[in-house]
Parts: sequence; C-alpha cells; structure tokens
Amino acid sequence: MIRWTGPALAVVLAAALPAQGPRERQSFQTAGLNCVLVETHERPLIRVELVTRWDRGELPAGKEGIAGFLVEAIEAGGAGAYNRAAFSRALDALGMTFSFKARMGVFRWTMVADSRSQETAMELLADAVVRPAFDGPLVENERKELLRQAGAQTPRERGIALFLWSLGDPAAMTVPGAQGFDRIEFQDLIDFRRRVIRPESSTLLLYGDLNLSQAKQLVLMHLGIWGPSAQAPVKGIPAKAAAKAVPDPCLMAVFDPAPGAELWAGAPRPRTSEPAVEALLPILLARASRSLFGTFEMAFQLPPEGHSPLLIKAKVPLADRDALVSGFTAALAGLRRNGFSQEDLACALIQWKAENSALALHPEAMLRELADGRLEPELARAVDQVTLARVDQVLRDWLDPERVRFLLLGADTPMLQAAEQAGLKPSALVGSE
Amino acid sequence: MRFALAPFALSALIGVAGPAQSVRLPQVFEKTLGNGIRVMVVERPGCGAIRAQVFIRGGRANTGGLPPVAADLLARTLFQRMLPAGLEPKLEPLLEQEGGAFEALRLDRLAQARLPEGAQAPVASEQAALKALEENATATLQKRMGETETWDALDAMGGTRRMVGVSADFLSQGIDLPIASFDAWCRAETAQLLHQPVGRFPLERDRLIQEIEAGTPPSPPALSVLLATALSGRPYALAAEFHRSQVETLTWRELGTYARWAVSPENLSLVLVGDVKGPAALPLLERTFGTLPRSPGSAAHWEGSPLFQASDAVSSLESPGGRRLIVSTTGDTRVFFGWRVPPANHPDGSALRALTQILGGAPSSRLNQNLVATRGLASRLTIRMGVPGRRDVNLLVIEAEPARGHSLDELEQAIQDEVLRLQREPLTDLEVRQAQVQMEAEETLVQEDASNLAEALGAAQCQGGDWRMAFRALEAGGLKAADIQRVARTYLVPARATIAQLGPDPLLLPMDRTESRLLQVLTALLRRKLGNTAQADIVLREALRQLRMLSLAEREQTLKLLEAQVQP
Repeated sequence: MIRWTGPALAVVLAAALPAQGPRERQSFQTAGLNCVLVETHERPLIRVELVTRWDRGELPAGKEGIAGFLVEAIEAGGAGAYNRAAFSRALDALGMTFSFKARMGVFRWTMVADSRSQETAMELLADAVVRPAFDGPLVENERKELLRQAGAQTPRERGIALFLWSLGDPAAMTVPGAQGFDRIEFQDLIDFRRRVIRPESSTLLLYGDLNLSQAKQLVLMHLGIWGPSAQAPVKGIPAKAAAKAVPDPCLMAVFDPAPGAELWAGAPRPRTSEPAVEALLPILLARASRSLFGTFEMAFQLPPEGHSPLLIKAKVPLADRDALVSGFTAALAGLRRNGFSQEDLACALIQWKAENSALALHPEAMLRELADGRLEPELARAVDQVTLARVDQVLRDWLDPERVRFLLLGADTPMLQAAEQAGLKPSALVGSE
Repeated sequence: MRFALAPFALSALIGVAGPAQSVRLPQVFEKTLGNGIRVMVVERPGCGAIRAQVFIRGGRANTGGLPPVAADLLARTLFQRMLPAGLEPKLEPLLEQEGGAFEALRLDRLAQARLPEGAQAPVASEQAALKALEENATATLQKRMGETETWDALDAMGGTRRMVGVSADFLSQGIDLPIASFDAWCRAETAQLLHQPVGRFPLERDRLIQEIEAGTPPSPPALSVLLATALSGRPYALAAEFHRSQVETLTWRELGTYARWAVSPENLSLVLVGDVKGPAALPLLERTFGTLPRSPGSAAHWEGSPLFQASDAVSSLESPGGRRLIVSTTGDTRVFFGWRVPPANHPDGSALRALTQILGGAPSSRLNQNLVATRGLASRLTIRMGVPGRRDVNLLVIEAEPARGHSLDELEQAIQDEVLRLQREPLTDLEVRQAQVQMEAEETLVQEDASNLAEALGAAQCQGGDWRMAFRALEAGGLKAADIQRVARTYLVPARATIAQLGPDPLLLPMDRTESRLLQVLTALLRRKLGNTAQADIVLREALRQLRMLSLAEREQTLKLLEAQVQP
C-alpha cells in the first residue's frame, strides 16, 4: 500500500506553504474602536463585520438568561429611527445582506453591500449596533415565547440544554427552564446591553472595495460618537459560577423515545490556555475520529471562542447500542493514554497552514479568523514550535477523567447498567423510561 | 417612537445604488478540452491558492436505471477519500465476499419476515456464519482503507475544505489547494476519474443506511411526497426517494458499472477559481484531464423519462389537474405549494426569479412582510426555485410553518390570497426595481467566495448548458412588471399546482392540550351516535382537522360548548 504520510513529506510541504492569509490588511483606531481594513477592488462589494466580546462573568446573578433574552430583543427590534419592518425594507431596497449572530461572550454584526452604498450600509450597521430600538411589548412577547419554549422542551432538548449550559458552551445562550428569565426587567436589558456592547471591547473589520481614507471617514462619521461606555464592566457572578447555574453531574441520562442513542462527552477548557496547541487540536481530533472509522461515528467539536468546552459526540448503529458506553469510554481513555504521533502532528501542521494559505479565497472565513486573532504572525511562529509532548500534555489536561462529564441520550436500563460498569454513575435523569 | 420608511425614502435609497452597469460578470476563461471536458477558469491573482471543483452531470435524476440513492453512493465512494492507485483490484475478492454475505443476510431477513406463524426458522448457525463472514470482510476492508481515512493523497497535497455534493442534476467534488499542488492534483484527480475506484462502497453503504435509519436521509422525506405527486411522469419525480431497501439491494458491481457510464468526459466540467491563468493552465489540463477516453455511446446520456422539450412545453408543465394532499406525519406541521415551472434555460427564467424575489426572496418581500411579520400567521416561510433540479421541469416551492394558534388551512388560504393579488394587481415600479437590485446583489455576492463562485458556475453549466445562467440578472437587467405578472398568471395556476398539508394525525398526535380534550369530548359524543368505530374515527379526524382552522380562543370556546353536551 502506498503511504502518503511521513515526516519528510510533511516538512517539505509545510515549509512550502505560506502561513498567513491576507497581506494587505491595515489597522487603525477610531474613538476607541479597533479597526482592520483589507482592501481589494476585485468586486464592487464591501463586507463589514463588527465583533463585540464580553465576559460571561458579567451576567447578573439570578438573571442568567439575560444574554439570550437580549439576543431575542435585538433580533425582534429595530435600529435607529426604524422599526424592524422599516429596517428590513431599507436593507432590501439596496440588496444588502445583514446578519446578527450571538454566542455567549461574542456578538457579531455583518453587513454586505454594494460599495456604492457604503455610506448607507455603515449608517444602518451603526444604528443596529449603537442605537438598537427595543419595543416594550415586543420584548415582553419575546419573554413569553422563551418561557413557552422552555416549557415545551422535549426531554432530549432539555437534557442537551442542561448539559451544554453546565459546561459553559457558548452556543447555550439561554439558561434551561424558566430560571433566569422571569425576574429580568426592561431596564435590566438596557443596562446589560450598554455594559457589554462597548467600542473598547469591539473590533470592526472592513473588507472590499474601499480604501483606507474612505474607511476612516466612514468609521468616524458613523461610529465616532459611540465612545467608551460610562459604565465600567460590572462583575456579576464569576464565570465559573455562572456556568454552573445548574448542577454538573458526571453522567446525565435522558430517557427518550427516539430510536437512536448518543453519548456525548464534554470537558470545560483547562485553566491554562495554549493558543498554538489549540489551533492544531481540532485538526488532530478530527483525524483521530476518522481513525475510529467503522467502529464509532465520533465527532469532536472545539470552537475557537475563548471559553468553549471540548465536545465529543458518539453514535452507533441501532444494533450496536449496547456497546456504546463501554466502547466510547474505552476509546476516550485510549486517546488520552496514547496521545498523538509525530506523524499526526506533522499532518496537522500541513493542514493548518494549507487552510490559512487558502483563506484569501474565502473572505468571510478570513474576516472571522482576523477578528479572532488567529492570523497573527506570533501565532504562526508559535504553531511552528509546537512539540508532540506539549500536544499530548494539553490533550491529557482536556480529557482528565475528573473533569469530563457525559450525556447519554436515548438511555434505557441496560445502557445505564453498562454506564455504571464503566464507572459512570448516573447522577441526573431527564424524562422517564 | 418609530417611523416607517416612506416610499419616497426607498426611492431615494435606490437612487443611491445607481445604474447597474458597474456591476460585473465574473471574467471566466472557458475552453472545451479535446475529449469534451468543459473547463472554466476565474483568476484571483496573487492569492497563492486555488479552488478546484469537478462536476459530473447526471445526479439523482439520471442514474442509469438505478435508484436515486446510487448517485449519493457514487459521489461518496468516489470522492470522500482517495484510494491509493492499484489498491482496488487487490480488494476485489474481499468486496465479492462481503457483497455475497450481505445479500444472503438480507434475503434471510426477508424470508424470516415472511414466515407464517409457527413455521420453522432457518438454522441459527448458518446465519451466525454468514454474519461472521460479512463482519470479517468489512473489518478487513476497513483495515485496508483505514490509512486513507486519516490521510490520503489530497491531504498530503495540502487539500482543505473538501466538499462532496449531490443534487438531482450533478455530482460534484470541491477542494482548496496550495497553488504548488495544482499539478499533482490534476494527475491524481485524472487517475481517480479514469479508474473510478468504488472499493469504499460497503463502508459508504453502511453509513448511508445508518443515516436513513436515524431519520436523516440526504433529502427530507416531506419533499419526496411533494415531488412524487407534483412531478409524476417527469424525471425528477423520484429524485428525493431514499429507502433502506434501495441501498441494500445495490451491489458494488452495479455501482462500478454506473460509475463507468456516468464518468465520461462529455459529462464532466472543471471549474478553477484562484491563482491560475486559464491559457497557462490549458497544456497541463490537456495532458491530464484531456487524456480521459470518451466512453462509447456516451452521447445518449439520459435514461428514464424524456427531458423537457420546448416544442411540447404545455404538456410538460401541466400537472394532472392540480392536486391537494393531506399527509399525516409524526410531528412536522407545514404547508407546501409546488408549481411546475420550466428548466433553467427557459426564456421565462429571469421573470420567474423576480417573481420569487417579490413574493418571498427578502425579509421585506410580500409573503414575509404580510404573513410572518404583520399578521403573524407563519413562524417560518421559504420560497425556492429549481426544486429538486433545474435541468427539466421542476417546482417553484413555497414552504411555510404556521405560527402557534394558526391552522394550516388559514396559512394556505393566506398564501393563495397573496398569489392571487400578485396576479391581479399591478406591480409597482419600486417593487420591480428592488427585485432587480436584490438579484444583482445576490449575483455579485456569489462571486466573493471562491467555492460559492465555483459551485454557481458548475451548476449553471450542468443545468443550463452555460455558466452565464448563474448571472442572468447582471447580464440582462431591465426587468418589466408586465413580464413578471405574465409568468405569475402562466405558472402559478391551479392546473400546475400541488398543495400538500403536512401535520400530525389529530387522533394519534393531538397538536395541543385543547385538541387532546376536544378529541376526548368528540369521541364520547360520536361513539354514542355511531356504533362503527372505524366510521367514527373518520368523522372525528375530519372534525378535528376542520376545528384546526379556528383560532385557539375559538377552539376553546367550542370545547366548552361540547363539554356542556357531554356532561349528564
């Protein structure tokens, strides 16, 4: 059989690949806002992305659902002088694409427009970020809807929500159940928005058919008055405690009539962070999951956000469900014990560099990487220096059995018995058999 | 205080956008290689990388007599991972062994299912031996291919963002490559297309069976109901059918024959976007892809129902009288409207797209504004053209989910009203200009990302025979209100429509607590009067469906009235 791997090949190809994406980026600061411009005039388009970061610790105690509630209010509300319908009409009239995406700790607004409409695009984006128009009755409706959704959750949905929230997963924006919603008042929402959406914790990325002078003028004209928030960030509850608004059992089992069983493992991010190793880890884990081909469908998720936990999801064919718990826990233990090989590391390095070198083909992905600081030359240098011993140590930290928690979806009595035999005592049950 | 944006302000905004002439078509270098492969190249100088995408015209609607699922299996088997050259012949005995055992076990299961009660089951030891044979063969195949699962030739070239696509019209494979690997990729890809190794078939077959069993087939089951009815007699009628039995009865030999039939140069298109110049790349492409031999008789590459003929447009587009379906599901509640429309290269294509845009293509479009935002009848609404493909007569589909407290009938009626309004009331110039602006913006945005651009060019080439089909709004411009209204009156008519209401059976899965209580009360009332349970169930089901047309408050009021009758 022909082997495609090998350190020699890896070294040659890795050396040949440029480590960085865009070369033309220019940075500037206006009114406390960090801005990055990537200028290209290939198409008459501009893409503007504003990213705001905040700390999970800023969630007020007893009102942990406020972030998810704020997202709903922003999505339903208007901007500046426009209500939601008028805002949509203004965007559609010029064929603009606008989106707002939220994860715990990160808000992103994106606007794509014809470069001839850059003034209007920036004005509408500034309205959406700085001057959101909340509508009292609409906000109240959103609260009712969130409460209704919480009440209508299936056992599986509730189990997943509890598990992700307890791990501090950024995708879990709303605290499970009614807890954390009912005590939030309209003014809380306004205050929380002012506190977390601030220029000094935001980055504005501009890409496309505009030059530096135009970019500076646009930012100054539309976001210049934003200014630093008068309110200093208020520490509500510590980040760790916020994540633990619900208990974090070692094994949560969900009884569920759906036929497929799944076992998830989740590990919160270790205290010490190593960005260079964590840049390679998702690639290494994806490779590891492919090596389990034929035995398990195993998917690793390690989003790049600062506080993201590691999630590992495994599922097996219906006929093999009895082997799910023992097989999965053994596979995890094996992965932690054996670590990766030098070849794995060399391959991951090639792939990481290749992905970065192709970013110029994918402006949206490139801006995301830029906003998240993953295109800094220091990171590229650090990634080149990563050793196998460090990678294995970080993997062992992530998969420390003391920290890993499990979620069993579609559980039944034999599976729970198998879990106990594998050393996982079910400490929370959702639904009933 | 909020202000609605007045029409004059909208006009002013559109004025800012100015004329469309500065919006550009992509600069595509196109060439047909000596053996018939179509090549399209878009330069992105200086980026150091290239997006390469191979398209095989055919897809789920044209699988050479095999079920549509064969297209998915072929794409996955050929393109997910690259087997080392020369491995496949060595695997043949194993593939034969695995296939034989798999088929024997399948027949055994069927025979057991048909056994009359009390009949003697087959000998368990024989089944165990077959099972062991199949498992051993699979395990050996997995072991032999395990290495390419984690690292194959394309990984070694620095290939990233790999994508395998399957549609009703084509199969595709896309990859990002460092420009230094372009030469190596051309050679490796040519070898792959020449030998069409399908040795991974058993592994991909098992994965697909798992997906179908888990309720996540490649195409949603609701769509297959709509297509089978709305496009009966046409090539796309069965393009969304995915059944376990269809996957299980396919053999790797059949897949190999299909691969040889489908992967012929006349069916292939190659799209390159990135740091490569078309004329400079041509010699390499001729030396590699250009050497793929034409297959005998490959000109007649369409099997099954004949494709759309412009000379017989009316009979192709008429559905058999317009149909309305009520489908019981296990949870999904939605209404589908599907109208038969002509293929991508039909002259009415631009006007139909504008019509789609005006109806539901943007947040402020008619259906979104009136049904979702203002009246709150729908919680979600989408409108799509080219369902499931665009090479033959296809569907323009509206799919809507009712908001809480609103019935499917209410939503269906509201959509019908909007369609009628579009046909009867004149369109404003503002709406038409907005549709034009939005379509141009969409076509410009598609050019930004290399993979989106490659996908658009290749799809248009496979579906309409010309990449320019993907940029008709930029190319033609000048939409007219009269044209849009004409196509609305021509195509969105009952004779070309199929309406499907999907909802949980009210007897088995009441949609809320009120319906559950209504069921109890009505059952008590009807059983008293109708002795026949089956007849009572029919009446009950219909009554509950009718009651779903009422608002929640009205249903609760009805419940109170009925409860008063039941109580002694």
